[in-house]
Amino acid sequence: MNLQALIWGVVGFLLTLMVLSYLIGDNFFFRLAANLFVGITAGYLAILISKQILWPYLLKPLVGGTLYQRLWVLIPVVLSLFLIFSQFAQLRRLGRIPLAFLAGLTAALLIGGAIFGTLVPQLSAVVANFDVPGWYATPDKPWIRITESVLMLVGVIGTLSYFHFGRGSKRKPGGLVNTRPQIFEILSKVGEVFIGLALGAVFAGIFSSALLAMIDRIAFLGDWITRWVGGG
Amino acid sequence: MKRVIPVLVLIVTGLAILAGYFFPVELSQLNGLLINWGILLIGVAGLIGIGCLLRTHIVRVIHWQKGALLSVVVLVAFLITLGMGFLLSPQDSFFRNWVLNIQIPVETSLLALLAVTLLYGSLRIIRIRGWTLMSVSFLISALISLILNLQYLQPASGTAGYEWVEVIRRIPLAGLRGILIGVALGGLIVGLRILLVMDRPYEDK
Amino acid sequence: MFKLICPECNAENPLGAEKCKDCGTILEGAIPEDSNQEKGSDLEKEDVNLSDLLHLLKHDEDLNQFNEKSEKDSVSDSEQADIESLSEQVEEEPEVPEWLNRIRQRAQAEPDSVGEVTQKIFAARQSLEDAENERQQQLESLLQKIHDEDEGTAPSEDPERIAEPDEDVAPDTIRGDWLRRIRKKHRPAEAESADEILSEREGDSLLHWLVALENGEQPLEELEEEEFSKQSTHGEITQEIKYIVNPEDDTKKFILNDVKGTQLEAMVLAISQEDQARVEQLMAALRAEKSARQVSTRSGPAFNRGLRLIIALVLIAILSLALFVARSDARLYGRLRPQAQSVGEWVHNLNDNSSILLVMDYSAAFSGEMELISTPILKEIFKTGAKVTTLSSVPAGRLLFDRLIEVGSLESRQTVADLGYFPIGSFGAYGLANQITQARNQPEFAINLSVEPFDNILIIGDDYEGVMAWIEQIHSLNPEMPILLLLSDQAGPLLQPYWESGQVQGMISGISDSVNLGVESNESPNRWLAYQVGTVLMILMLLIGMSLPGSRNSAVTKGDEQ
Repeated sequence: MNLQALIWGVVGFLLTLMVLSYLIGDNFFFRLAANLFVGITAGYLAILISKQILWPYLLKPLVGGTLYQRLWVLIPVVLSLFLIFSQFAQLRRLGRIPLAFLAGLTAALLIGGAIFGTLVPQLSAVVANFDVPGWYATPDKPWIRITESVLMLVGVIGTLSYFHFGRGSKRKPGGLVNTRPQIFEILSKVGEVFIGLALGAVFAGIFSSALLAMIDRIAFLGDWITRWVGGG
Repeated sequence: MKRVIPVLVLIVTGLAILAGYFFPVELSQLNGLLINWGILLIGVAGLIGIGCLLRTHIVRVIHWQKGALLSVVVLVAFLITLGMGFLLSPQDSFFRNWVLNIQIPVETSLLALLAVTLLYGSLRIIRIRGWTLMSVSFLISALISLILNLQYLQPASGTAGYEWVEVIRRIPLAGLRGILIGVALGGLIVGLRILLVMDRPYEDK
Repeated sequence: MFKLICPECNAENPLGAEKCKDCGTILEGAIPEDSNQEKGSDLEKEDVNLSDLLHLLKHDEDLNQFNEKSEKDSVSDSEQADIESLSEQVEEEPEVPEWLNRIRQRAQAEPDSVGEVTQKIFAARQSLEDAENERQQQLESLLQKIHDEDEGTAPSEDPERIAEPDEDVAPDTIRGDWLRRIRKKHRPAEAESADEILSEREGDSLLHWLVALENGEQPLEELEEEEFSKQSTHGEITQEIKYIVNPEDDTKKFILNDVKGTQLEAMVLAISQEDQARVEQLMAALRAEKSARQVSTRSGPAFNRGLRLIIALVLIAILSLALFVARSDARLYGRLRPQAQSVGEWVHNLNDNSSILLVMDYSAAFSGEMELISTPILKEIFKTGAKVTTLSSVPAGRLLFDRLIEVGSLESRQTVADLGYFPIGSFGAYGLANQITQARNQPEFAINLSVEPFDNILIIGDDYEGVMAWIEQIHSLNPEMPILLLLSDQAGPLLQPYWESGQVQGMISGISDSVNLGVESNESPNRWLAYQVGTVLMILMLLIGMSLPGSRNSAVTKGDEQ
């Protein structure tokens, strides 16, 4: 084991123990590890943004570029300055323009992505399941395909009904009364079941990832101890 | 007038990007430019965020408030990383080891703590939530998914057992698809509210 | 009908209104008046207008304080509605029977004739007094001030009118009937046992009188025609309860002076059985509002921490045993799921001319899992000689890729180029998809995401949100572009619908898919065994949790959910 590997091994070993000490309770070592992590991540992010985004595409053309290049980056430079100066209380309103630009950009990407990237394809897939010739064309038994198609449709509608709040609640003497149509109430109960099933699958996935992380840490600790003790 | 300019900027930018979905070739240059500017602004915003974080810790150190010692740790770690990053390149192996050999143990250990928390939480799900439709279906689905993850149930292809296993695997898909569609609808509504200036997240409140 | 008169503009407002509808003045302290009362009567002209007095007092500091505090305790909308309905219903009370008339006559003569009502009101008031003693004292002093200044004033309206007694009913029948009714009302089961009732209800002089009447100890007096002087008289039953007799209406009003912080202060209560019931209901509602809410008790934090520590130690112990002690030589080459099979087929179809964009979208926390999943695939990709370019949507993306190469001992025949870091995945994805279709007119210093279009996009991700953004943007602008996913177990389930809909050509999610790929690795068997052991532990925990008795919290939570 060379010196560098040894040092990084010790660092990793100590940091792992410091974070896992949270199992006993919140303590100074856990907070020390967390704050160290915060400082290093912030520093690395600052380096990355400065060296890979701002310097080559904003500052370099401004400082050393031709007039054409400077004009090209003028607007983002001005917007960036607005954003920086908006941190001062008196100039807070300057931040509205660059933030409005980002908001418009993000909103449009949200809308376009949602419609063309998810809604249309996913809803088409639900409808496409009801392909009667296709049910009999595949080697799978048709009843399986029919069951799956119906379950899919009912599940999707039920899930969306569960989240449908629709008309607001009316105030009556006994308290608030939900005025949703009865059909939505029934479908939302169905949706509740399907959401529970979906979340159960997600829970299993999250636990698997967390378990693998625990296995990875234990393997690292054991491996390092073995090398340290074994002198490898 | 002061409020009109941001609204105009927002609407013009948003409509240009939206139109790019319908006329990708014609508007590709304009939209490419807008995206470039957006990435640059996000970078600047990221630096401002880091600056705010540092300011908080500097104030704490100057006034020596509670937690000042840990703030010193943050600042020292930040400065060392910054210095190393400027002197060496991000691709340098020492710099890579410095960053990864601290990030990986800390982040992975935090995720490992989640495994313990989930184990502990699974004991209390029913005690806290009670026997409701959602909790029962959640538990059944979690149990089935975990059992299937063990890979012990491997019926031969073409058998009835195989078909049943496949059907059971795919049942959560309906709820997952519904959740995805719901998330997309939510994003769509948020985006529309911003573009129609019903919400103004860029205004300070 | 009772209305609240605004002290500022004298506008009529409905009972229970908090603000004047005309001028917006807060109506706290305004005393209700009967809007039907003939205006300009001598009595009214001579009276000091209480509302004017209150208006004057508003500028006084004491009244301002009182207003602020009473505003906080103003009755809820439902109670105001009850108060309103109470006053309306009092109006509609039917003709009062003669037996009640006699009781009222007697009540005038006796100081504690309200008896049971007084007791209950005192009990309710006591509970309020205990909670807010200071405010009560302030209020009492203020109202005493008002009363002192207002002494001799004609009363405001009494909603109740005592009807003429029914002259057709014979006196003997009246005596028997109304006594029996009263006794049944108060003690239906023991209606015959007057002595028992008497002994238990000491101090209730009205009831004593009634019982004495029945036993013949008290002669039944004829109803007296009361000649009220034009001037109204008022008396005092207790310090808190005063009554005023209005000669014009033959009514008697009881005014409660110190129900704190509520609009009951301004209310005039006429004593009828329905009114009594409503007053009791109202007092109970006020008591319930002010009572402390039950705090759900749970097991102590020390116990929870201890249990969590035990679970952690058990988990670490069994995982350690599985990793370091147990020896697992069995390879589990299970059946690949269709989506994982597609990835395998895709890799086999790659060649020297293929160009792949590798999007690094996972954080350092998942490095262990992603190394297990990605290393076999990347090894095969590099073997084919395809050109790989990386792009990161996480800060440490490129560093993690370099670590992947190092840990997996991967060697690429071609240099892996790096397009850099893009802070927001959807921005980068849109820009990439956009630039694939655009004319090449971008200046060289602008951010160029590609020089040549890519054949395939391979995303290595740990979270569904980032990957979803990529899939949405790429599919929106370039539906034909093949997208393949290498995902952690966490992200797999939520992205499966994209595989089902055909937007994604293949995906591998989690260690179970990766193990089934059958790629040899020194670490895989023991880690797989440890994974299985940990999963079994979770299954056991879920089953134990389901079989444990539920706590009372679950009942409370269920009630909350409903």
